[in-house]
Amino acid sequence: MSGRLFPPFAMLFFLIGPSIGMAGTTPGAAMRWSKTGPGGTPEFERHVLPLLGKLGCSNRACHGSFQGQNGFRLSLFASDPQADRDALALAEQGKRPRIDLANPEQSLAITKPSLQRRHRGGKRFDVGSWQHRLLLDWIRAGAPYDPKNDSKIERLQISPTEIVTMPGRPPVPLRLLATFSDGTSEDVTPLTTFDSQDDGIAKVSEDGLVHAVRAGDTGIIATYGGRVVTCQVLVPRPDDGIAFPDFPANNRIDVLIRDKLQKLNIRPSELCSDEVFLRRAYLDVTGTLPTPSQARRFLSDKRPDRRARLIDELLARPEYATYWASIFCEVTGANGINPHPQVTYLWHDWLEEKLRNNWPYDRIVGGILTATSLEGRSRQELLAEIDAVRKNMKVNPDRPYQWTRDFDRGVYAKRKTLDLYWLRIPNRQPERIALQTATSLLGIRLQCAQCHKHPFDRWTKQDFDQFQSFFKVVEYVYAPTGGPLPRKGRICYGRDEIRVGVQKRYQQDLKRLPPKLPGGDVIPYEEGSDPRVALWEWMRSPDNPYFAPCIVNRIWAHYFGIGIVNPIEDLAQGNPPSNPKLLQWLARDFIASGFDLKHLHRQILNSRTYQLSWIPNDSNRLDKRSFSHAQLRRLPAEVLLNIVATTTGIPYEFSYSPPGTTPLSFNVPLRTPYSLQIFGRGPRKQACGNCERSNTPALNQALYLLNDDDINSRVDAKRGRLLELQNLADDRDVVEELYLAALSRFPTKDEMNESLRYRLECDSRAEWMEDLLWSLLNVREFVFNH
Amino acid sequence: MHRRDFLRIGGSLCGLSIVDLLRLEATGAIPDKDAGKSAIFIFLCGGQSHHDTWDMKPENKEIGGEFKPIRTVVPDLQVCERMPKLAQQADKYTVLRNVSHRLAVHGPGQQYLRTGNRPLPSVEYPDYGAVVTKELPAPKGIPPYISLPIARTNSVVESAGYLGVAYRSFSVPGDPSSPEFSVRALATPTGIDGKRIQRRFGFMNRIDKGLRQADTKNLELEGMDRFYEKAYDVLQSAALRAAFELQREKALVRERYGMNRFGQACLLARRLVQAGARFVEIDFGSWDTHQDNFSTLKNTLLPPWDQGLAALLEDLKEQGMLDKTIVWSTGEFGRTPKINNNAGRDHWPRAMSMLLAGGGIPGGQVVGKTDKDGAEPVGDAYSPDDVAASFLRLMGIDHHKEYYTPDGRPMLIVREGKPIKELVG
Repeated sequence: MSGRLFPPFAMLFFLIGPSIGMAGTTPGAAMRWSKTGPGGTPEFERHVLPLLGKLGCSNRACHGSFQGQNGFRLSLFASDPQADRDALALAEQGKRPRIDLANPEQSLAITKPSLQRRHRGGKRFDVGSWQHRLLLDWIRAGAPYDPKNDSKIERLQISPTEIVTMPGRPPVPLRLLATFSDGTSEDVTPLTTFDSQDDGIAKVSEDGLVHAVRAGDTGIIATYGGRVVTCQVLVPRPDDGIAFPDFPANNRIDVLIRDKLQKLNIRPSELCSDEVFLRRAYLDVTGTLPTPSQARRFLSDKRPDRRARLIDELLARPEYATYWASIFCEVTGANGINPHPQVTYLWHDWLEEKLRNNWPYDRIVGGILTATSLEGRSRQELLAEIDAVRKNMKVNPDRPYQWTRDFDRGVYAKRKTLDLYWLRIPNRQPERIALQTATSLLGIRLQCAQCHKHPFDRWTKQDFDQFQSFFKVVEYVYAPTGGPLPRKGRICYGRDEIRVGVQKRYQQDLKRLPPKLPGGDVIPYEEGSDPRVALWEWMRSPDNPYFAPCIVNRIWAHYFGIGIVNPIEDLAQGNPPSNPKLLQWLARDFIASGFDLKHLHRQILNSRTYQLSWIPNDSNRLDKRSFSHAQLRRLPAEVLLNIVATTTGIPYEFSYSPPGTTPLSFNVPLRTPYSLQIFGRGPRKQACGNCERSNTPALNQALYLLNDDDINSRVDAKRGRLLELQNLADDRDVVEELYLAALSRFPTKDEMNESLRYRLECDSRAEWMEDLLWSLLNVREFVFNH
Repeated sequence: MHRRDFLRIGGSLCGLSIVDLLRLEATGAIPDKDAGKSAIFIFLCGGQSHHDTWDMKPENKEIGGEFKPIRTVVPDLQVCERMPKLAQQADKYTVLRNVSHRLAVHGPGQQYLRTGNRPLPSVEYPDYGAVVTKELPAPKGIPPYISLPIARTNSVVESAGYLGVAYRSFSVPGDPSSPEFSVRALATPTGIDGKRIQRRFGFMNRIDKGLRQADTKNLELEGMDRFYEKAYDVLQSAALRAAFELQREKALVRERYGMNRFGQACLLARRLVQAGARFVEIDFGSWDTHQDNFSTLKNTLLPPWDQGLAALLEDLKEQGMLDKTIVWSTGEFGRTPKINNNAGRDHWPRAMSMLLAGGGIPGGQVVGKTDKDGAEPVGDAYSPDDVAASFLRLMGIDHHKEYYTPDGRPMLIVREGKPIKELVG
């Protein structure tokens, strides 16, 4: 689009004269207020504020900080023009105003940044520069600001949107064109602030000149007037004379991956082996390892479509639903702080049931966002449901962590909506549940906008407040049974009901700040309406820019260890995807499939890209953003402990959890055991989906695997898998079984010989088997998905 | 030494002879003399009553309670009669009587006092220990941040917050006063002797070839390898094991600290700092005395606290370590002036007291005062942020240093606080 507006040759002239080839656009500020330019009265929002931003005046470290600086405070990122105009023109008590209408040249706003007077912020411009003249012309004209009639920015375009360049090449200029409400447009490049996402790859100068530093790809973020646009910079590796390999595309994903790799001159790795694929797919899809017999069966399968078959098989396994329900528990912030720890299992079961039946993703989210306790049923039906859920529940009040019986978990799971999302105590603060929803389901970070405008996105505080209003249209009713409920131990499930309505304390808010879709319409609350439905409809509409990209990016990141956008829950305008076409295609394909999660999994899993080896080549060793090879990924906490349990054949036990709970299904964040904590399972306290999780290595983890009681007690020839293996007469069979159980592959010849030789060092066969198992739990191959 | 003790301490771990161990102890893991400061943080979870410890109001019958004040070795300072040993050490510490905040709930209050930042829903701050771990190095084989949890109230556990699990503590939950005390990750399982462990390690290393294709470099893998090496160092650190071996102390010294869990944890903390740990935390609950405040304090809480903390200060001084070791004892808030119907005191963050000593903090000093009810500071008041800023400054850490959260949000270590002049000079 903008490529056509500004053909590359025109940009070469940009440095000489910005107005060349730009009929109908006002020349850039640098020209207009240069010594020889026509000058004229600048507009406050259009020229002055962006200039102050660009000069760094309204930065967090300077006058944009909450305390201001030396008695002069600007709104952070120029989000509040009126306040900024006032801060400039009106004096604080006992101080001079920053501008002096009688003696414009003597204004502090002129003399300080030009260092004619002491300024802790140093020199920002020279006397006689265009910046100097622009500010001076504005003050001379009486520092005008007319919020009603001044033109407003309507569109900001960057050109080009993609740059391919290499170190040593001449810098490539970026150019910004803004269109305003009065129909004019202006080259605003001189007033635009530029940042490089990664200045180890490409740097950008104040004037928007981009030059390459080293091979890789990154984005340039350009900010003007509260708008943010980006340009992707691709810096190819130098040609090493080796041809791009044959890369047959299994589906569209591979085409889009290949396109980018070719531009960067990065060669993809080989396809991974069947052993690696088997282990990788099992761990990623189901959080489990194949049993030795499952592994044998797959590894002897010679059919050409064996991988696609395995993928279908895995997606149909119950562990798929169990594991992904835990993942979505984390996404939705399932936590039992209140109402009481065990209730999280109902939350998990609800999700598990929907995933098992492959409910469309938008329908699952609808069940969460528009939840009510009644779900349109009669009160009697709700009470019957609560009773049924609690009927079998018996908890020893003195020892609530011991479960004698279970919830009737099937009953809650069959509900249409997840009212627990709303009943969770922290979520009864509209602010918190709004943040949770925006972050985890839309990838919109509104945290910044709690206090100030988002620096790299469009959101203002007002946007956040009005988004919050969607979450103020619910009421909590105590004791729907009509009286105090019997407490069974510490289980208070069924104590409250949630329904649509407005609590008294929010009635004024809702009039003043009616619910408004992010970047969209106002949805006023009327008696009997549920604005949350409009929010949900907006989210699932095919052109919503957040909802589908957020989930496809999340699932992509699950499989690759890194998202197309990173951090994965931050789809800000200033945080562009590493492969925009890929993200867009995945989202469209997902929407077209009817938000079919298994379809999305299948697309990714069947792609050649997912099935690449982790072993890099000379050209792709450093690549992480272009998916040229698989990444080694330390297993997530629950998966790692799950396979410790299955490999050793000795399960973990969890307090506050029903019998049969495994690390994969465990969901009482408040009672997370040491083992899961040290491997980075989050406590789910913050309002986000996965921001508390950590998959990075740590000292405690190594100590755990080397020498913790949990491990030592499971490596015991008298128990679990080792006990079973005692029956095998041949030592070779023992080695083979243990390798298949722990690493899902046969031992190599060397490994077999080494293991058999080690038998001679040991005092007994039992000791040998224990050491073998212990060693297999500690080799890096066990801890990493590869 | 019994053979069993010998094993548990791991004297023969990894096939090292005892001679090797002694040599290591003598040369390897002992920190440099100028390694900078360390800290011992004693967290009185639940919230210690300031009225019944540092800030008594005997003249005010209604709120004063049943304890009487006693003189200390410092003329300006009187403390509760149930703190006779601390009274004798008053020349070594500063008491802050004018700390004040507004978070009267355990969870947020504890997060506030353990991080120096008022909790926000959108970010989890790192504990002091995690910050110290990030900023200050520790000798080989010694975990920089060690926590000795005795009892925690309301389940607020330590957190490295946005710094991530790599900065969490090495947690030692056992009871150091028990003859059975052993350290979870350092214990050697029964039936596995040093020879076997050495053999295992050797074998494991020989077969750990799966991800070691020639010519590959991978940060994740290297990171895990590095931590395996460190873990191995920890497992075979004679200095660390020796530090945990309280039997090495004279019986007289052990008894001076009190033969109870808190007292021995204080002694252990001193030994760990001596071995090079940078931040040792003792979580000592529960001070949440909504009921029977006075009998609980008198019978359960004050005696071990008074004895252990006083012995720690005296011992640090005698060992020449006090100048390099900050000791900080605080809860998450004070307690109500009003005594409730259950002879208890409830949560009261508007006024609280704390003890700080060592590391350059003046001794024999009382900072600030509260009104006649002990309800609000009079004159200057300090926030937990200010104390945090002072603490970090004294540790040699710039409290205004900026970190980034995993999602790229810039964060000052301590956002609001200013160092307190009475502490930092």
